[in-house]
Amino acid sequence: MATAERPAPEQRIVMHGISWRTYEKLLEERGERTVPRMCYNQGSLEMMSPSKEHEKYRRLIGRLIDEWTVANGIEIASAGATTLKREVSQRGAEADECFYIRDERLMRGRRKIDLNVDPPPDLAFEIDISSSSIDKLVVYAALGVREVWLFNGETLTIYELQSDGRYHAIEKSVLLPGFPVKDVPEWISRASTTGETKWTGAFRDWVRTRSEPGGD
Amino acid sequence: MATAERAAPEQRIVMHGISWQTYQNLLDERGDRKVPQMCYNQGSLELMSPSEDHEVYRRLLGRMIDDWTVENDIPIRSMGATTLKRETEQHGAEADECFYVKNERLVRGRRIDLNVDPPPDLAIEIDISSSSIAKLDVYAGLGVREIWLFNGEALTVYELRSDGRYQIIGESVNLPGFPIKDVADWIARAQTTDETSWARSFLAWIRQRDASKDG
Repeated sequence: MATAERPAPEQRIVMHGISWRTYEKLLEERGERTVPRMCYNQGSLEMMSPSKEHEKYRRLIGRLIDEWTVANGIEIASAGATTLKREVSQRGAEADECFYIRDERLMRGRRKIDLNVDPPPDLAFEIDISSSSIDKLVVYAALGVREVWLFNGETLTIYELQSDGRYHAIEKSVLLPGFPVKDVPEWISRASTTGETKWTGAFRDWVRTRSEPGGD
Repeated sequence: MATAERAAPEQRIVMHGISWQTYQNLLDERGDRKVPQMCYNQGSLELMSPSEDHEVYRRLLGRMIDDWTVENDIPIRSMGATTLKRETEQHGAEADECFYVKNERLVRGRRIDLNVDPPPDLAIEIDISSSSIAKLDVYAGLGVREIWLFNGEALTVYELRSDGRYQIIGESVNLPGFPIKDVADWIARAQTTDETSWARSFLAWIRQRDASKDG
């Protein structure tokens, strides 16, 4: 029996002792390009180049969230991989995707996020096939992102920011109530055996059956 | 027969549109740390973190060069992974190892200033995964006469020609007679024994070659 191919990990380089100014200069010089993605944590800068699998997982989880929010009528504003940074905390991150949900109305149609004046996205998700050298939760906590989803290719873990400024792992999403967190790995692996359109359709049907009255 | 495990590649990140000033700032802020290694080519910056295999190859090839130069009495000056850079052409590189050989006498015993001194004569690069940067363009811009590229499977030797381009050569100009074609085998052989026995057998091999040449 052929062994399943391991998903290719991201390329990652971390540097220490990097100034905030250099971090901002790199963001500026990267310009409109989306790679490498950068995460900054008080002097440590990690640059990441996603692998093909990373991008595939990003897209698939994005689709699951899209389908869920449409089926459940949850209004969202996608902020993509926008840089979220706060100089006062010397921390900055770029999620694979992030969304405004509770603050959707406020941030609708906004192109840039300035965390000095704007609220942070409510939800951010990250794909990390290989482990990051940076403690992402510490960074997201400083940015004030309410809910962080971390997918490592095998498990999806949901974290909620508590009043003590730390994240706690939770079983169910607070912002997307009922989202089938535990079924995500299975849906993701199912995607490798079928076309994306058919796969999305199957998820859409599955979501519909679940929300039908009398259905589970 | 079991297939040899593929060598673990380096981590590489490349960025484009990076200013010389930012490249300098990164070098300064990296300080004394050895990683990541940086290569800059007119706006493109590659950062590289070596894998364990990369480091093994670097060390073994380094030992082979050490043994060769000692046994053949070739004066050298090792420059390690010193940053070689020229702002005018916007090039900067950090080889895995580099040496003065032909120009050793010129730079003996003093601090080198690459703004006035010639660059090293020989630079060694280990690249298990391909670099995204045209390394040879960078080294040509820096004027390094001879480059050895080892990708884990074969060693290729390049010489800088008067037209400013590198050409593959069969025989090293700085270390004539060095067993270029046998490097991959020697490195593979190192996996089967301890490093000391391996180095001793390489030394014995060099001596035997010299003996048969003289004899």
